Amino acid sequence: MALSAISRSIFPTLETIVGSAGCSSLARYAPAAALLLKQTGVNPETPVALPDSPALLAEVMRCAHQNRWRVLPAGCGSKLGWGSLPSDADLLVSTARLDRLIEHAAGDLTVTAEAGIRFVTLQAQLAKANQFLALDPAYPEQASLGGILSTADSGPLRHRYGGVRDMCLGIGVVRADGKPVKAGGRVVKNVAGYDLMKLFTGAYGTLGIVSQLTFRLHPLPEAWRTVVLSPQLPQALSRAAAALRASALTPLAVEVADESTFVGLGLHNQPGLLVRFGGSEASVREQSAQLLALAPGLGTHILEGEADKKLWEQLRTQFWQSASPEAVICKLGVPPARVVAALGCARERGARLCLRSGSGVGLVRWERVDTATVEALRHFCRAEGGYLTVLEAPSALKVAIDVWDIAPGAAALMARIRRRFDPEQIFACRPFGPG
Amino acid sequence: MPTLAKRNWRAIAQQMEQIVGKSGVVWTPEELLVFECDGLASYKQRPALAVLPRTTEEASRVLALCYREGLPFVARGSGTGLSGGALPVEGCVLVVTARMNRILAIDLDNHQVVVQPGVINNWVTQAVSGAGFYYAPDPSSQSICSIGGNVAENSGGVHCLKYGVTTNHVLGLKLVLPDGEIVDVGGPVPESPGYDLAGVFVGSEGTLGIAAEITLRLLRSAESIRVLLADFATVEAAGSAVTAIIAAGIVPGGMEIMDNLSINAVEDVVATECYPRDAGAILLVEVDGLAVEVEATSTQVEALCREAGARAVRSATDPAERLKLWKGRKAAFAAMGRRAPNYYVQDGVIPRTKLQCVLQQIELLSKKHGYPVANVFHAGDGNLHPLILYDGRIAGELEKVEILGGEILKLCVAVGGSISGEHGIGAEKRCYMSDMFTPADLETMQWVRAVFDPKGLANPTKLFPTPRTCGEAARAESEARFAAVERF
Amino acid sequence: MENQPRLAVPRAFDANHPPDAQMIDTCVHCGFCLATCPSYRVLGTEMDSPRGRIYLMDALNEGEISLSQATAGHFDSCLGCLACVSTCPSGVQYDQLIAATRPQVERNVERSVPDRLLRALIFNLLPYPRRLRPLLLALIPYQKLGVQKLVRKSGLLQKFAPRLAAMESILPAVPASAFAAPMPERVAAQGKQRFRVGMITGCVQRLFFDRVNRATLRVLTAIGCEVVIPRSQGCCAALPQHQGQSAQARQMARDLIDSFADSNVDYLIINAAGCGHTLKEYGHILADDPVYRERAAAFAAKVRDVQEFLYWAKILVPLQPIADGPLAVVYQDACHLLHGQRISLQPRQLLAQIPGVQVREPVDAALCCGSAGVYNILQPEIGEELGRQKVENLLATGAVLIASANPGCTLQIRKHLELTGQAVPVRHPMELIDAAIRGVKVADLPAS
Repeated sequence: MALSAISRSIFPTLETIVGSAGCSSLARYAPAAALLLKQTGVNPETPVALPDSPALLAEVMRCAHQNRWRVLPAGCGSKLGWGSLPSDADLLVSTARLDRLIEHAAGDLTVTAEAGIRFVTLQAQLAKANQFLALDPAYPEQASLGGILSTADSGPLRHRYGGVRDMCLGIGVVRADGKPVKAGGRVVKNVAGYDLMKLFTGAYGTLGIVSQLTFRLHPLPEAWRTVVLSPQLPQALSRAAAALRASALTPLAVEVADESTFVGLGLHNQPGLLVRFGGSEASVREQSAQLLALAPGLGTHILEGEADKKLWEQLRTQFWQSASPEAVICKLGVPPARVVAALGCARERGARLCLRSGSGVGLVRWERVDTATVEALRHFCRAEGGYLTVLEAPSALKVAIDVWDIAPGAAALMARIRRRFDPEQIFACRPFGPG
Repeated sequence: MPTLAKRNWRAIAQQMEQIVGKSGVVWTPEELLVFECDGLASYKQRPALAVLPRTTEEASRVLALCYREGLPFVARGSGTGLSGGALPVEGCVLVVTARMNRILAIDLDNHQVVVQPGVINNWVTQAVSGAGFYYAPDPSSQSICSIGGNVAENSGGVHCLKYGVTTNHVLGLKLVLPDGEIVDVGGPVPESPGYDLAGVFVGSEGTLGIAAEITLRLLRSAESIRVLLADFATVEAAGSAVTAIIAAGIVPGGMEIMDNLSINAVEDVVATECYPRDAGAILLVEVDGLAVEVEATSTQVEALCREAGARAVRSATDPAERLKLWKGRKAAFAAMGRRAPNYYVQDGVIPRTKLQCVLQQIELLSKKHGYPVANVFHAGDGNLHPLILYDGRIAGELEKVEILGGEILKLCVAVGGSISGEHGIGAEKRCYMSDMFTPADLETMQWVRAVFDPKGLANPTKLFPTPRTCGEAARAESEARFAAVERF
Repeated sequence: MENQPRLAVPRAFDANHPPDAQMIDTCVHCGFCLATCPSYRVLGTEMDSPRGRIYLMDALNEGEISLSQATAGHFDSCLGCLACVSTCPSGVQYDQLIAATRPQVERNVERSVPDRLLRALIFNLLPYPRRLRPLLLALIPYQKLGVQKLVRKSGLLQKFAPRLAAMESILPAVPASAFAAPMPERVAAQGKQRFRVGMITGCVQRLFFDRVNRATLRVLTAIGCEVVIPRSQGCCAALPQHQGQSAQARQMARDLIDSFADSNVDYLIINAAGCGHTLKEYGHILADDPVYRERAAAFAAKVRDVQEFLYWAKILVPLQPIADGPLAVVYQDACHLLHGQRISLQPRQLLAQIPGVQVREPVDAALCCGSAGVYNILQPEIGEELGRQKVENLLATGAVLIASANPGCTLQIRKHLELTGQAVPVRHPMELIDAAIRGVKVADLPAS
């Protein structure tokens, strides 16, 4: 496929703004994503602008706005293929070089950083003060902070600490017209003005490019310990999950997972619960003891220290290893009490699954699946008042299905918001909403 | 559109009566008088009508009527807000949610409840506490403030340090948009796909519509709770204890400081007899969790307080005893009623590491302007509530006090903080929005507003600064409150 | 709305003791009082809350609004439960403010004819046992011959005179004791005499709850009191006082003081919450009376609610279980004890002293049951809703017996229990203590 005339003409203009170091192509910048996006007609040679200051980011966007270029916002490119696939982008604007840590206010338990900072880099800095950003996203080595916000990508730690939306205190955004704006602030409590942080969380870059973020931090737990519960029967799993939900224990994470996930973790071959505690040594010891008392007669396994850490890394890679381009990974949600039922429904359909037992949010993965099967699981989630969103999947499947699963009434309102924020449709290359 | 003064309010009132019944419409001038202000009594404006719907459908029909007639409307819960969020605007319909006070569903399996907006905050906890659950956000006015008001203001409380504010506990909303359309946003499961419209709505101060049904997340009651009361010779010492506690990696349920003036005001009225009258400040720390954790953490907190110079530390685990220790704090604002005819409360936020320096500045400002300032604050999250005491019966005092309040807010912004932590901007602080946000920031927020409320009918003139609403123009508005009453 | 009936000359407050402006100024408009205000709970209208009423009083004082029927209606809607006084963090003395407002309303607002007639009926009948008793005789055939059933079933009264219907509906069965011989004027203490006390028998209490009075008398003597019960005593003045009928109230207070003039007692004991609150206010009620001022203050200082007194004096005799096995009892706070006299702990502690009794706590314990003296007759809709809620909350505790220390509350709760078809008994705490002292099981007590 030929590079569009616009894209070709963009390179020289970009170079005058961001210099040659700030210019790249999709193929060079994110090879894996380039392959995927090629399927929906995005040329691998599409230019990528990598401004290294907020001012340059704004200038790139002003230029794009003036020229009515269609912009695909990006961070470090790890999740470009999530959700509905973009088509016809004239250029990508990436925040990968906007990666400064602006302020780690340890005494205030907050951090302010530019959007392109990589998650692992940030965590390493914060750990020096015994603090952390309590998120466990996909692809932590590649993922940028801005990308995590834009995809609302939380993990098992959501159980105790909440999602991305609950931790973001302030944002800086460059709008479609190139104007830099902000919302929220740098303090942990603030109700001045609309909470635009929420609007941009999970907006997939359809409303503007997030350039700077402030997050709430938490003290790093002194000790971690995971208890693995493996009941013989599904009813026992249900009971154990319910007993744990109803208890006064305060785990950091409670995941319900199917047997293939457990096999992949090198544990048993039946569905079970992974319960992670964190805090003082005394607390984790007491909590795990109380948990064992709560679920007598279940097979148990306890992991501490490195083994604990490794287990949760393995769980993540089970879902996010992209060995097969045929794999389909979806985010789903059901009410907490229906988590075990959702597990059953997914297993019957050949998927592996892990769900946060406290919130009912989780992931499902098929190595290969047809549209009807995905629709069937979605049907189950919807009937329970939940949803199923396709994150990674072959483009053929994404074309055949409503990727997002946004409720119709709210979707109309969202479409109006999008039009208002981006009347010239600068960010229109990523479809958002039903159909 | 007819001008405000010439509207046929009689016909409108009759149409409203068709929707909500005769008893649900208040129209006589003397009765409407009581709706002219909320918890911020220094701003006053009588509404043209007050309407009390009972159901989502009635609320929708009321707003649809306003939309057809081009009438501005202001939603009001219990009228306890401290920023004038429920202050009527001239010629408006006041939509009072006090009759929408039913808990619609309790789903303990999924840890959630669905309530109408007029349900009182602590009714939620009362309804589920028997089963071992509670609703976490607890503003000091929790005995009377409504959930709808909490959603509008994104209310906090003394326990939001650890558990978050209202927005962290709202899962879904059934909205009535300003044209009467009913839309569901969010839902029983968090992180639903698309823009987080429930998240945007929370804290929008009634400018986007009315939340007619609210799905709230419940938390499991902690196994053990302990409240520590440490008494210090100075506010600075209490502040340094807070810093030390956070630095030690402890995040308590709540951390509150009251200074000497507030301690004595509370003791005069509530007489808890637990706050030492001679203390420069007291620090209240609530620790919760498993018994073993609470035990260890309290010991640590107590030691840190003593290191910071606490003269004495007492603690309570028994519910009645704990309630007693908190009682004075919860009554702190109103207790000022005995100290001075009026008080003006501010709601600034600062990075908690700047606490000592800001408190010193406030004291200097207090001396410079000649008004006593009592300090009550959520020390854990840097949310200050300076209470400026004055006598509103003396002409011109309020204006002077507002200037002092403004300087305090500007100080908060200057050290990297915010002009409001939980009370909202409302009518009172809209002019300070420009100190925090650029015109482009505000324009972006207005875009959201224009989508929800294209005619600008929902709580107009609130939250956003306009030349007309700032300073003297706002007061002229309130002084004219009796000019246009005899419309009937 | 121009055709809304208005007084020819709308008036504000007159100069005779309007609500005190300084007292009004202590209100900071925080709204905490709304939470426990029963009329606000039912109506949801700010005008029918203490904060709203204070706002109206202020505007009336300032002459900003007139004392129209609409305005007056919101003072009438106040139950006078005083829950707001307990709740107020600024210490606003709403009790004083509403007490000053009611006579203003009585003097300056023209009431409708039916309203006037009903009020006249109440104030000329209920506080006077000697007038009420012959009427009760006439009621016996009404109740016994099934006329009452017929009237209630037809719903006619409800339709044409809802307030008369309300009055009729709380009417208890006329007990034979209403016509029994009066109690002796002096009863000696059992065992060693510890106190000499006077007993105030109340007006409604005396006729409808004679059993409670007799139980109280037995308990008092059992714990070592010599009890004086002058026959000349009439109504304590609570009824007219709460409705702003000041002149009538003052006269009744003077009469009662005279009845006990030479009794030489240590304490004056009352077992009805509403009466107790008014008796303790005698100093205020007669503050402008040069002759009675001091006597009234001295009288008020001796008044004790019976539960307050018992808890303080201690029951030194052994208490027996009053049921086979545990007995779940819910204590219903009468507003005039809880808010008017700050008595809440003592009744609960006394009940808990009875072996086997478990005291349960209801939701909204501080919220009025809707009886509020004669309120449920004057404002039946609000009274109904509050009664319904109260019974629901009391039953939700799982209690099998309700303890209530005020005749009005007892009638109201019984009525709503009946409406929901519940057979849970309502007893005065003194009946239970008396049973425990005598070793009688509560199931064997004569039906109420």
